[in-house]
Amino acid sequence: MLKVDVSLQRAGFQLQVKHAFSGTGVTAVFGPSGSGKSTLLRVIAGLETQVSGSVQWHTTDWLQGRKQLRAEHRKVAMVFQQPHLFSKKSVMENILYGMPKRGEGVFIHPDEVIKVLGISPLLQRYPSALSGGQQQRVALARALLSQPRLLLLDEPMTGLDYAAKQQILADLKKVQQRFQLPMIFVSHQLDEVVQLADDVVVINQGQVESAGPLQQQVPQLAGHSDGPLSVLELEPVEQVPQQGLQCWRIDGQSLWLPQALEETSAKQRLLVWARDVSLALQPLTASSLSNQLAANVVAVEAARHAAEVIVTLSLGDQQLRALITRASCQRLALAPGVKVMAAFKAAAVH
Amino acid sequence: MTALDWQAVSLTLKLGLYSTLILLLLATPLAWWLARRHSWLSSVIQAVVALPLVLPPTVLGFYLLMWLGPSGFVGATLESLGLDHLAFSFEGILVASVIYSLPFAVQPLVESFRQLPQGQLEAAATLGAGWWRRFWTLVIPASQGGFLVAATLSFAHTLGEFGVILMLGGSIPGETQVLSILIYDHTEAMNYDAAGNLALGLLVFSFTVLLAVYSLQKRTLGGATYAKG
Repeated sequence: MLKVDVSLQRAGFQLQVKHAFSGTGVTAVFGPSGSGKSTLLRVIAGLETQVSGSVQWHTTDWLQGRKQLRAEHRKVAMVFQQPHLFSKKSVMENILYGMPKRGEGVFIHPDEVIKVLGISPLLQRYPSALSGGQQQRVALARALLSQPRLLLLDEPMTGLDYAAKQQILADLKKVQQRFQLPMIFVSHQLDEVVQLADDVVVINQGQVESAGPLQQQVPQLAGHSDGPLSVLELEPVEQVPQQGLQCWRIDGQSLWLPQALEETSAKQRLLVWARDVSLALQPLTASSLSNQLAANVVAVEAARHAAEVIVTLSLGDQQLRALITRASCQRLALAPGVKVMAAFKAAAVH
Repeated sequence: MTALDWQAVSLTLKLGLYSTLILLLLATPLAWWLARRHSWLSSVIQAVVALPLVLPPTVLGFYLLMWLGPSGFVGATLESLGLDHLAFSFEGILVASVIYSLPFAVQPLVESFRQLPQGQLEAAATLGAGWWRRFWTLVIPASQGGFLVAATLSFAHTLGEFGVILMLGGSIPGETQVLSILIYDHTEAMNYDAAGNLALGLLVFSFTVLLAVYSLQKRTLGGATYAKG
């Protein structure tokens, strides 16, 4: 449990955050840029000196009034937007920098981290000879080997290309599964949040706007992004991929999605924009849309634009939202209880 | 070269070496503080440190003679403790040379410390490295260039010291008669050959040291010294 109740004043900006982080799993701190997400993370790490209030990790005070426990005593590792690797040290020296000297309390071992993150070919090199994605993986390895009790990630995928970003995301998932390390990560990218987070804290203008489990926070996330959306939880299916497509199960129905970069046997979350979902009363046959799910209409609500409505569908205990025109809604006579086929592009998967 | 000349050479090297060591120990914390603080006090300290750059050496020498001599505050205090005052002694010119060369040690270090890769230092802190460990493992390697320049300039500037030593130390062989003073004495005695030999030696030596350091710095550190990591 990490209890934070802090305030920090800067020219033209005030951070005023009160929140109790669960201290398990992955918590995403989401919000627009300039909202104070990174500053909050730096406060937790002990890198902000001008902060007052309280930060408490379980029964230990990290901040009490203005009295700080120094960053080096918190056992909280941080991965920054920039890798900040030690430029005059080799990759090996970098990742061992934070290892406890006498091997006490080592629960994350170098061999394991090197293997999980696939960095063994890089060990003898120097940071300047690595790509951005490789540098960030080394920074992650370095953070893990300092045996932290909490891992902080400050938009670690910023500035990386798509492939490198997917790689880091996959790495973070593996790290989370393997080492069960609590993580707090800051992001303004919805796909990152959806893929990693168990809990979400939405920050805006230096304050907590809302907080809770990911599924509960979907409407708030939508409020800070490109419109309504859904997050579907998919169950893996033991089936050989066909034509690059992998089979997943949701509410007893099948979905075929492009194979992930890294095979995972765990649950997968799917971000579906409401505008990418189309509804029909009959199954579509002659269509390029191959993923169709039978669902029941739960609610029809007004959307931001007067000509559109948001139709909420139930898929077992999960919800899928579709953004369609009011005219279509009337034509199909959509109302709570109506059974429909919901189709969306597999390519829209994140 | 006579025995007197050789004595002056060894005394000069000794003074340069001691001054440089003391200066590095003194200037490092001072530069660290100056690089981080921007208050009226730091401006005052910076101005005081830079004074030897603009003051005539005779002014500095005069005040030091007053303070370190038998009737000065420092000199009298030392005498009351049963020690000697510092005028006309090696210890005296060592103190003078440390003060006189202080800006040459402090400025390059302040410059280096201002360019430190803050991100790396913060990352190190979150990895559990305390202040000393960060200093030894990251600050020193990143400031190599600054330390090299500070040490060289301190040493070379001490070799070139004349006015302050003449005022405070006089010309006592083996005690305060450094090369610059001996060259002056030889010249006054119209002993031009001896003066010329020493002058040429000092010129070649100083140039060689500076050349070695600047080319070494360029080759091994390149622009990387001041580049952010």
